[in-house]
Amino acid sequence: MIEINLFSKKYSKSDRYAVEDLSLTVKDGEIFGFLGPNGAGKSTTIKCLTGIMPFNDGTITVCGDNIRDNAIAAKKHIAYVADEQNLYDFLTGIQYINFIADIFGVAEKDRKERTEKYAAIFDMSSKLNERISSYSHGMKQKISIIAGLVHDPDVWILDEPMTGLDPKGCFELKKLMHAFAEQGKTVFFSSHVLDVVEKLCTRVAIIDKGQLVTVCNMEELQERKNNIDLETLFLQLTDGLGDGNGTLGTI
Amino acid sequence: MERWVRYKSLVRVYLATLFTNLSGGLNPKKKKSVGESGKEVSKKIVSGILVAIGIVVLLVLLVSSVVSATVLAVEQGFVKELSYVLVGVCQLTVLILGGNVVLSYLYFSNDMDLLLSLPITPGEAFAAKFTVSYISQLVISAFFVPVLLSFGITASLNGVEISPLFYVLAVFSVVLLPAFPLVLIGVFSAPIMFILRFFKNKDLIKTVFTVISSLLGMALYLAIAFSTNIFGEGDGSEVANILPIVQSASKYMVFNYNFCEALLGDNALLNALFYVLECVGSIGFAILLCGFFYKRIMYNMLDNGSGRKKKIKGEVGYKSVSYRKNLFIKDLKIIFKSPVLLFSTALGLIMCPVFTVLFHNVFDYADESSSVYAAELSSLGMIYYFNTIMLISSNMATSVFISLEKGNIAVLKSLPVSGKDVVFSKIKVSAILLASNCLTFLIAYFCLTRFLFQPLIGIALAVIIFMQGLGFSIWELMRDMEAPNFRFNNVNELTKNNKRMIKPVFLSMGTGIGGMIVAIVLGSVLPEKFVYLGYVAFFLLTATVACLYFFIPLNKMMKNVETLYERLEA
Repeated sequence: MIEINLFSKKYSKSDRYAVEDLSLTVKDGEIFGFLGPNGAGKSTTIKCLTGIMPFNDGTITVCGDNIRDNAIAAKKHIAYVADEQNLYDFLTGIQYINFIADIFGVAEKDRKERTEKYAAIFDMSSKLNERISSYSHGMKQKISIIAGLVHDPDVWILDEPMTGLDPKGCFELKKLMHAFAEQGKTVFFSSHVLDVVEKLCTRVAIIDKGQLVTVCNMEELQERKNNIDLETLFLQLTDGLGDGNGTLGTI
Repeated sequence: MERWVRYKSLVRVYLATLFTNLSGGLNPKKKKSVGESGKEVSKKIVSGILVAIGIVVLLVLLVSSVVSATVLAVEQGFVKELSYVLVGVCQLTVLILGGNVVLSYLYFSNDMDLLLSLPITPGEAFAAKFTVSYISQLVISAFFVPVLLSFGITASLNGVEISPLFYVLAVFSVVLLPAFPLVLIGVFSAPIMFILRFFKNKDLIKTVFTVISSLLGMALYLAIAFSTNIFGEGDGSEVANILPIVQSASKYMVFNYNFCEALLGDNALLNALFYVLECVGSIGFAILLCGFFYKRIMYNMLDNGSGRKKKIKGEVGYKSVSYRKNLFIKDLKIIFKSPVLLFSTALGLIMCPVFTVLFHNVFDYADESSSVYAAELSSLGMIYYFNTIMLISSNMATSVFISLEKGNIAVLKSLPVSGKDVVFSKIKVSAILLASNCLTFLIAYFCLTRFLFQPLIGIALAVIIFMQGLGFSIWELMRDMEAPNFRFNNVNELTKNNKRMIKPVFLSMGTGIGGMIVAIVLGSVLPEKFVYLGYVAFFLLTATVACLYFFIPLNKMMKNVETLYERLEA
């Protein structure tokens, strides 16, 4: 479970808030989509949620642990897949997975089982002994996903995870996200691929210019709005249609 | 004509990049970038002024040395031979300082993909890159213009006939003298690159090559220094010893015959013309030869694998180790995978014992007025000074250890690892490297034992300089945490303009000089029966300083590490 309450973040060299007074709750068993135009504050929110950046105001708790006061405990619940894959290039894939597994204290038997399982799913079994520096962007993404899942997290946070993945990789990732949520765990991810978000997510939040615009339940959206698609809704709410009416409309 | 147009376009782009990189830091009139405060601009101006002062000081030293050497040469009758030496020194400097730069331009730039996709011949690409790398080395040869001019003026004032063409050639030497060294690099680079492709870790090979060539250079210098008795008591014997070396320079540098004859001999204009033709001819030869192989070499550089079939281990290992050990291994690998950092570390390992032996033996004296204990105390001061500086300057990695994480800092921060664990892992790596340097110093010192308790003195000194070095490391690490640089493209960029090293190096110099003066003074003034008090005083003083250097930063780090770690943003 993720609880974000009146979260605000201002960068030191800026005079405006990157994210202001954001509040939302993501329950167990949900796949939660986090959408917004470029520069809206999605990555900022995710980085603060995962403890990478400090923030000015508000609270963020992950499975009951406050990310500020109890950072280590909170991070133990999280698997984070970044948008930019900054991995240790000089390590091999398996060395990187072992590194992450050691941090989380995963037993050898468990890490072997999970690594083999996920590596097979993503066709990375034969690449594990190669250096990360020789991987393509998509392969780095896959290693990052495998390393994230090796410790069987409670919360899976992904920042634009489909970028760079081949079609099979995207398909397998979506399957994993479903399976993860069905186990009663939480998936929180940002993406620009609205078709995928529409099909995958239980709930979606839209953020624009650092402010939360709306949170909507996908099922209800389909029922109430005569099948208005997520893309149209998104563009209406973030003024992407250029009509100057970035309003909530009549959801 | 088309070839010329393509060549010109390439050269124009490369020159623009070169001058943008050079002028970006030096031009105070450049528009302030967003977020750059007036304080940062004035810092740049001050840095520029300091650099200019440094250049002037260096030139003054060079010119005064050349003037003294020229006067001596006129007296002893080896003026022409001295001209060969000066020209040779310029070319050697270009070779050593410019070698890596030229190789980087030719073979390790980021535009290989682009060049191969464009309709340009390998010869054109090589010619353009060679031209720009040649131009980049003119900065080095420009330093020798005042050297040659002062040689000519001094010789002329001391009765040697110098033609007006000398002064014209001295100015044109900027362009002429880099020719042969760069042709040498260009021609030998092809087989070097061919050999490197068989090695997986090219960066490591480059580092080993650099360390070996530095060692050879140092060995050559020491061999010349000791054979000419430069460190002796100035009885004039060094002049007689230097002369054969200077005379042999003219034999080995036969390719500079025309230039040196043009400077000082007959038929100056004809010799100058011949030399220009030789330079142009050799450059043309290098471009033709290397251009022929350049495409093949470029393909090899782009190919990630080695020439041999890759051997990948069949078995995947799942061994579990403690996360602290894993962090430590990761940090150690960061050092060892970077040739620049590895080189500075290796330099410390080698130079600490070298300085120890050099300053123990060179300043080793035991005349009637002093005992071996007093002599040892004076030597100890020298050894303390040089090893203090060496330990700080060879530990460059610590000053950029956080910055080196770059984007990985976000990965680390998302993990359930405390800032203390991350930072102390780096301190441990630094401690291991410092301890290795101290160990090599200690081994060398043990070999110089002259009396019973000397090994204990060595151990005490090793502990003191280790503590001092570690204290500096913690301080540098904290400074890097306060203002990390995560926006570099390669480690060379990060370490090349690392102004953060200036304060620690100057401070260690000051500390070292202080300790050295105390030791030498105590060794000289104390009567023999009280010389042991000198040792006590020296070690008390240096131990106190070492404790201050160690415990103050450590205490500050322990208090602030989590706050500083939390503030880090890639």
